[in-house]
Amino acid sequence: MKDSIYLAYRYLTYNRVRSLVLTFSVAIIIFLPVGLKQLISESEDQMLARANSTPLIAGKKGSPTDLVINTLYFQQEKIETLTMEYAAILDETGFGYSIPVMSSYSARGFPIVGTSLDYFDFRGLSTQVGRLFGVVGECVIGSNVARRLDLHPGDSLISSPESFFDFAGVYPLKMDIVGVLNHSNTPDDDAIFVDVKTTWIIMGLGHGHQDLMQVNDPTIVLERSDSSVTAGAKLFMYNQIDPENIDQFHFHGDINSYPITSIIFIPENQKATALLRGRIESGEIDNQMVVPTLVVDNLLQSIFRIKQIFNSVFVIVGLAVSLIFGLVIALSLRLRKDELYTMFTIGSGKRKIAQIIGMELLLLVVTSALISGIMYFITGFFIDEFINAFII
Amino acid sequence: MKQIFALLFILLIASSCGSGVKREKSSDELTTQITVAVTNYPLFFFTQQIAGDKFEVLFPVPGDIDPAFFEPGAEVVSTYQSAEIIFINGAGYESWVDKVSLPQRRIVNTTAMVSDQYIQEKGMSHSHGPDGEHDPAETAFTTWLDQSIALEQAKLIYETLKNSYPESSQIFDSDFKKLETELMSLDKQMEEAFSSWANASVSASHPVYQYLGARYGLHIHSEHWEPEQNVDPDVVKIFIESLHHNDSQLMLWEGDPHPETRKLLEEANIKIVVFLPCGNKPEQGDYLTVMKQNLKKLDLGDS
Repeated sequence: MKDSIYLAYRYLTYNRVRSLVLTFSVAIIIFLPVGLKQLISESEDQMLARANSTPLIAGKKGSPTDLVINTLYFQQEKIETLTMEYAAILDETGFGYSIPVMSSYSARGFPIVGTSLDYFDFRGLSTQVGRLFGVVGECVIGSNVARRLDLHPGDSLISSPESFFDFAGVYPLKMDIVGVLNHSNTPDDDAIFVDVKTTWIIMGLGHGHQDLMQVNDPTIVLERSDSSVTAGAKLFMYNQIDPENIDQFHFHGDINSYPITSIIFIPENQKATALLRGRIESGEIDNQMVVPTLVVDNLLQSIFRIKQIFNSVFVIVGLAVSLIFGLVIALSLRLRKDELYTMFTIGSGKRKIAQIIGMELLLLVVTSALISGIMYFITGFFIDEFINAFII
Repeated sequence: MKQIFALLFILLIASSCGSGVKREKSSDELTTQITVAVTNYPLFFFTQQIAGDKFEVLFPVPGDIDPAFFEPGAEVVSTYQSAEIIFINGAGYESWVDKVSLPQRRIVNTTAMVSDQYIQEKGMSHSHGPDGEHDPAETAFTTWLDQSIALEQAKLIYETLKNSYPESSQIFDSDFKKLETELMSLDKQMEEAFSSWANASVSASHPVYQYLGARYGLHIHSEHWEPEQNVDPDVVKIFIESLHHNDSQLMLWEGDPHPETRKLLEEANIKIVVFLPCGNKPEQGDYLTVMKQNLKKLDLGDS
């Protein structure tokens, strides 16, 4: 047996290139279905875990998938907004509490998520350095944002304008980074968190400008009376909030009428969930409320279908490769006719020759399986990064 | 003998380790004391009266600052963020709340139940750009000077604490009952004290007595005079002339007026009463004693 293995090994190493091509072809054929299965299962688990940990999401009537994707994974699809007042209405039901989410803007390619401090308690997020935001204009960044942009507490980030051609639009806001969140392997790692009021300042609903009581420049103050002051467009607006100018920042109108993209609602218990959904479905409370698990489940059904298509493709490709593999073996046996004859004439029986060739094939397959195992292990090691970067 | 000593030594070490654990536990208990934060002194007083020693009541506003105009820094915001419950006065009292990040569900607006009684005042409007005029209507915020509202605020504190910590409800019940009696009695005393001023011309150095006036039937006209400010004699004269038709004149001040201003007002037979709103911790006494002192000054007719 040992001599057969030795001869098979010597043969494979002598025909290095051919052996390597065969080994890697087989390895890839073994790896692809199991690797993809691993990727899909892990993606499913992660997507479902995020959805399962979020009991209810409320939003304006429209696509539930867009609403859930925006709220859970911060994919900033254009969705209709609802007002902050709705959060108060839900809180007043006494069934639980609301966490507002405003996810429409970005900074350097990462989503800016406006929310309340309750979000961090709810998700169990804490800072690895620095602290959570305390005043408007401050932000806390996810670990991936910090790593990729090389940012630390004390640095700043500028919000990206909604449209580069909107010259008269909202001024970008320079936000102070006050903390970096611990790594959580969730979309929170790739987000910039601010107080929801900061997003309203980014939108231009709140702003800070020179104190009109102190300004006497007639090109700035166009009209002044006992009860009102009218300023022109020359009025200087602050694009960063600091202790010196924070007094000058203000919101106009009722904050309850300001927009948010969704609300994460945390019900007291299962009964509260049922009662609240009942009220919404009966139209007693406007807007839509979805159970993220159901929406993500539906979404995953589509992935399942894709997975089945892939599996069928792999079976066909596998069959084709097996046939090619068989052909390669048959052809190589023909090419090795003289070699096999020599082996026969020096005393090797037909059985022994078959054993040597069998060993060659076995060594090829075992090496391929080992390589695909290593590839599977490596995929497992980087799968979270891969899922966060390309799937969620 | 050596073995006995060794055994005693081991026992000694074991007992010292044991006492160490015990000390650690007690420090743990200390750090887990429930904290409640408030934004002005009346709320601090009510919460302390109701919660007693069971809770640590935080009121992180320096003594020399009017809490209504306080702008908290990052450290103070972090103190508020760490509290289990944050009782705010509401009615626009804490204008800084819109600029800081506090856990919304831990904030309790103590005047939310009486928001229909809020008194609106016209503020200075401003406009710039295409958005039109921004009209910041101001809400009067010294709600606690109306003792019936003060009682509602205390009641909401009591109910919130009772619902959040039902295990201590017996303590809350008895403590609130005492406070309720005190506030009701104070309300009655104020009603009596101000009844004689119902038809008089009552002025205030600052617009802080709106709820007091609304509750106790006073028609208060407010100036914007700071106690330490020597008000321009011409301005004082115009003010006095506007009152001359009424014999019985009372002026409420937040603090001792400047001697010159006082002299001019007293010469015009205007009764000056320093009626402390007690927004921040008083130098002496507490909320109830300060309010009673205010009433005493009203009877005596001087500050």
